[in-house]
Amino acid sequence: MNENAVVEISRLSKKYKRFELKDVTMDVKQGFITGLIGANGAGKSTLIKLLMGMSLPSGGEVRVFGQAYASHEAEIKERIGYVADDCSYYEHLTVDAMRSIYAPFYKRWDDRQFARYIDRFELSPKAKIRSLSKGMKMKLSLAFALSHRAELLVMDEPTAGLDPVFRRELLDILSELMLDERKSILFSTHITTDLDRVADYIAFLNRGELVFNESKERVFERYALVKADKELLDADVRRVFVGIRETSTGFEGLTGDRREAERLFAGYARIERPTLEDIMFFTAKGAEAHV
Amino acid sequence: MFNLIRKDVIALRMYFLFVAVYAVAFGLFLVSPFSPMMICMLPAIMMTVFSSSIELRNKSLLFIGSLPVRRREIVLAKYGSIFVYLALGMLLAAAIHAFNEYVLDVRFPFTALHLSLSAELAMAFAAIYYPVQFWLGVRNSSFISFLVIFLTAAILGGLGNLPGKLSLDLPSRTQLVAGLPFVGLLLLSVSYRISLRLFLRKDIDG
Repeated sequence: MNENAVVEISRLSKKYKRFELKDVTMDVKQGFITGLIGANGAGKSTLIKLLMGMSLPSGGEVRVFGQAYASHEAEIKERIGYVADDCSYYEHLTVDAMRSIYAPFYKRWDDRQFARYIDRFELSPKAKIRSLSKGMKMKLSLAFALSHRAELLVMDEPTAGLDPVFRRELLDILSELMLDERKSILFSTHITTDLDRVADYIAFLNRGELVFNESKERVFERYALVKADKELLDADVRRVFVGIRETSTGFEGLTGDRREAERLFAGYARIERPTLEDIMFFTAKGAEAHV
Repeated sequence: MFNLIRKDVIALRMYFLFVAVYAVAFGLFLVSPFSPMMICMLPAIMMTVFSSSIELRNKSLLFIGSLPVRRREIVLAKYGSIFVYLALGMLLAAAIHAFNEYVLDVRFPFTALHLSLSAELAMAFAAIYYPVQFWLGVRNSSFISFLVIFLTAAILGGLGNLPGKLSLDLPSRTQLVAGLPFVGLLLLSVSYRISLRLFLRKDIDG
């Protein structure tokens, strides 16, 4: 096992009728926040379900804490706090009744911790789950995931449906958790600004394929957004770019080789640092984007 | 496994009230020759179906799949819960029997054969229901589930007053009382293996 990795994914694939996750190899490093980005349908939830042992791979392997699901399913999940993209608790029950279901499954369940989070998130133990808004359900899910001293927090689109105030609070909570170097977080999102704030590593999935899994700094060192007049755009230049967006007067192109871009375009174009959203957009659209 | 069964009991607690009302209705007010077996057996069948139904409605399998339990335990708990529901039915039937016989002074025959036949039918139902559910999913298996419930009710209609009519001599009646649950257990055992095989090869989704 890679000493620093809590999750090791090796040549993982999953075939559905209309979608395929292809040959993904990546890891999630201990003590860091890894953000999983990609457009809707890119395979983020599929990858997370495979990582949680809920989906079975068509090929490849997932090891969590150095162990395989086939032999250590319960032990692995004991150490994971999972926040799903959709609430799957019993809606007719109260928060407290759901706690009484959830808590006994975890040896290290901490009732005090749960009470603190419930209080912090302004959730009433007597509230029926069906009466909670989407954001409140997400908070409840988070309270459960954070109350059994999980070493790995896996969250599927946790910020979707949350108001900006709580989104910021959630990111603060994640940052607080990371003060403990033994903890690790993997969370998927398509709101890439969230990752700009907290992520250490970025894994980018596009159409079922892993484009990269690198430190955020390395991603921004490597990628560049080139803005220039259209006359520059010949066939050779096009090959430099991952994706190009053309307008009537000029173009914007994303390249995965900043140095090469600087060598080719210095003095002729503006070379900027792209946002994660730029990287997602240009990679997903390729050479198709036109305005 | 215990926690998974406990989860179902908590999730179904409102439905237990429904079962109690049903037992009182058919045990005290609408008494028929089928009443003892209906009260004893139908809670097990109803609770099994209700449990699957609320699981489907809430996509709870996604939540269950994230819990620190093995897939084998998820399947085993489903089969284990049948015995909890069956015990509930038997307790209800015994209570209704006692109330009728000793308080209201109404005859309410409830014999070991009633118990045995109820247990066998409830186990046979689960033995068919669960593999179909694991194979097709709760949503897609609902028609088949309905069919199985209908057939069970029809069998109940045919067998409801059979224990009273059976004039078997003691050994064969005893054999029947002991043998029927044994057949039920055998069916459950085969069914569990089929369900497990199906579930181990499937993705857990809502």
